[in-house]
Amino acid sequence: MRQLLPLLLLFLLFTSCKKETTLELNFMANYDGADLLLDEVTDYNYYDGTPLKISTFRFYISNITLVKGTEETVLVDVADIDFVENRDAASAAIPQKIVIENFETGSYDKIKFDIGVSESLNATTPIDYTSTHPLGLNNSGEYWESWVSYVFTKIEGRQDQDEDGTYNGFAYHVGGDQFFTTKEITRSIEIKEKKNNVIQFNIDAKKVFSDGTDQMDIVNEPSSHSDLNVPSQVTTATKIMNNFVNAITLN
Amino acid sequence: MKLNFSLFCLLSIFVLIFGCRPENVDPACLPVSGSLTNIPYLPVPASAAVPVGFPQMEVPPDNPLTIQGVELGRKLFYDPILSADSTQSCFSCHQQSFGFADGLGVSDGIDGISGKRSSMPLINLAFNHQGFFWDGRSASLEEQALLPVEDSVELHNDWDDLICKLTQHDTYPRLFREAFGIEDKIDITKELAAKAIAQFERTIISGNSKYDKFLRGEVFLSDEELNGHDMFFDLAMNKVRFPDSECAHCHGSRLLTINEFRNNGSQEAATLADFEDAGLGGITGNLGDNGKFRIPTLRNIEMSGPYMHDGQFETLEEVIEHYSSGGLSSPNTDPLIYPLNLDAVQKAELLAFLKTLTDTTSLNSPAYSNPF
Ligand code: HEC
Ligand code: HEC
Repeated sequence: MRQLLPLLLLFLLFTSCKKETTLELNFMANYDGADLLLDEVTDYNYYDGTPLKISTFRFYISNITLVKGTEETVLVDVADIDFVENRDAASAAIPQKIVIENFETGSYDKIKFDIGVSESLNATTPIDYTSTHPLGLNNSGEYWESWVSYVFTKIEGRQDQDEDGTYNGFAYHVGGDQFFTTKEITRSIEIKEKKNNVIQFNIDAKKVFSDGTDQMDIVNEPSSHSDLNVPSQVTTATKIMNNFVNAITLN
Repeated sequence: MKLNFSLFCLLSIFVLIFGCRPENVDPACLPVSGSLTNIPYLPVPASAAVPVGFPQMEVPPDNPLTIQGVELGRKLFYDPILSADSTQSCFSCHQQSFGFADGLGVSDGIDGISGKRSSMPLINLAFNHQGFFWDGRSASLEEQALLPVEDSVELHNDWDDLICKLTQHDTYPRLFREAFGIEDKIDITKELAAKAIAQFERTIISGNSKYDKFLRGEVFLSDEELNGHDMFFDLAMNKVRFPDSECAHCHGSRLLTINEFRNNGSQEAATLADFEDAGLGGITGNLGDNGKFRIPTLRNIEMSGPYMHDGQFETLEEVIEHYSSGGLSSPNTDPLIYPLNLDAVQKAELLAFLKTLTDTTSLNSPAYSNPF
C-alpha cells in the first residue's frame, strides 16, 4: 500500500495538470422565457393572447468574433443554428453547441457576429460543399433559388387567431445580401486557462414577431419568402430581420 | 484421462455434425467452399457521370465504386435468385421504364401480398444522405439493400439460403471475387451483396431532362412550361397571374427534393396520434413527426405514378388539385401547404413544367437495364 501512494500522487498530478482550456458557444431558444418546444403541440401566447405553435426556428450566424481593443479573433466563419431537436423539456435543455478549436485566452471587451451568410459565401450554393457543411447539400432546404441566397433566418408555425381550434400557418423566411446584419454586444468576456469557457446566447422567439411596439399581423401577412422587389415584402423581411437580431442576447 | 480425451473427441464430432447444422437451411443447399485465388482481383475504380450543376458524389470510404462492384450489383438487382421462389427481384418493384418505381399504388410482393406503401423511384439516391424509405428508417443504401430480401411482402427469402445458392452458382463466386477480393466461395456474405447493390444504385443518375437542358442553356422552355416553372420556384413578378406555388421549398435544388421529411397534407388526422401511417414519427417516436414523409424527387414524375406514400393519386392532375386545394387537414400539415386556388390555366402550366422533368436518357440508359 505504501508503495502505491507515490504512484497515486503522480497519477493525480498528471490528471489534474491535464485540465484543458476549452471554449464553447452555446445557443438556447425560449419563448418569453419558457423553453421553446418545436413539438407541434405546445401552445404559446401571442401578443394578442391567441395561441401560437412554432414548428421551425433556425438561422445562420457568421463571423462570430471576440474583440480586444483593435484586435479581433474570429471564432466561427458560419454556423447553422437549428432548434429542430427541441422536442421536449429534456432536449430543449441541451444547447446547440459550437466547440471552438482555435482561440486565445484573455479578456475581451466585445463580441460581434452577423446574422445571415456573408456576401462572398452567399455567392456559393450547396453543391460547393460537402453534404454536412452548414451550407452544404443536407441544408439545401436553406437555400432559396428565387433569391439566389441562403435563407438567413426561418421561423414557421401556426396561429389560432379566432381561437376555434383551427390554426393557420405562417412562414417567415429572410435572405438576400441586403438583409445581412451585424450585431455587437459590449461585455467583458474572460476566456480563462484550464477551464471550460462557455459563451451562451439566448434567443427569444417571441421577440422575432415584434420590435417592442409593432407586432406581426400573422393572419394578414403569413409569409415573407416571396418577391424582394415588392416593397411590402421588403418591409416585412426588414422588420423580421431587425427583430431577430434584437431577440439574441448574451447570458 | 485417456478415456476422457477420446470421449471429448467423440462428443466434439457429434456436436460438430449435429449442433452446427443451421436450422432453416434447406438440406438441398449446403454452402460450398472453394478457393477463388486463381481469379485475379483487379478492381477498376468506376466514376459515375455526375452532371454539371449536381452535388458531388459522396461514397462511403469502405465501399468505393468499382466497375466490378457495379456490375455485380446490377446482376443481383435484376436476378430473381433473390426471391424465395425465384420469381422476383428488386426490379419487379423498381422498373427502369417507371423511373425505377413500379407503376402500382402499393407494391405487391412475391406472395401477391400487398404492402401498405407505394414503391419509390431509385433515382439520384447517391445524393441523399438524410435517410431512405418514406419514413427514413434506413441510414444508407448498404443498410437498405439488406431489407427487401427478407421482407415478407417483398422477396420473402432468407439470406442464409440466398448466400448458399450464391456459393453454388456458376458465376457469382467469380463476380464476388472480382469485386471484393474474397478468397473463397464461402466468404460471400449478405453485407457484400448489399454493398454491390448499393454501388449499382449510386450509378443510377438522372440529369438530362428538358429542365436540365434548359438550365444548361441548350433548349428553351415553352411559355406554358416557363410559367409553370416560375410558379413552382415562386419566381414570377406578377403574383396575381402566377401565384407562388411554394413547391420548391420542398422539391427544390437540381435534385427536385431537399430530402427532408414533411407533412404535405396527404392524410387527414384530428390529432397527431390519428394518422393511419405515422411515417417518420413511427421511426423517431416523436409525436410531432407523425404524418411526415420523405419528400420524393419529382424527376421522371410523369412516369412514376401512382403518387404519394400510399399511391392515393393516379394522376399528376390529381396531385396538383391536392396542392391547389391545400391538402387534407391535420395538426402538423406544413405551413407552406395551404389553398393555392389555382385556375385551370395555372394548373395546366404547373403540369407542363412537371413534364419537363422527364429524363428519357435515364429511363432508357443501357447501363441501368436488365443484364440478363
Ligand atoms: C415487392 C416490391 C419491392 C421489391 C421486390 C423491392 N422493393 Fe424497394 N421499395 C419498395 C417499397 C414499397 C418501398 C418503400 C417502402 C417504405 O418506405 O416503407 C421501397 C423502397 C426502396 C428504397 C428506398 C428509396 C428511397 O428513396 O428512400 C430503395 C433504395 C429500394 N427500395 C431498393 C430495393 C432493392 C435494392 C431491392 C432488391 C434487393 C428492392 N428495393 C426490392 C418495394 C420493393
Ligand atoms: C411542405 C413541403 C412540400 C411542398 C411545399 C410541396 N410538396 Fe410535394 N411532396 C411533399 C411530400 C412530403 C411528399 C410525399 C408525401 C406522401 O407520400 O405522403 C410529396 C409528394 C409529391 C408528389 C408525389 C411524388 C411521388 O413520387 O409520389 C408530387 C408529384 C408532388 N409532391 C408535387 C408537388 C408540387 C407540384 C408542389 C407545389 C404545388 C409540391 N409538391 C409542394 C412535400 C411538399
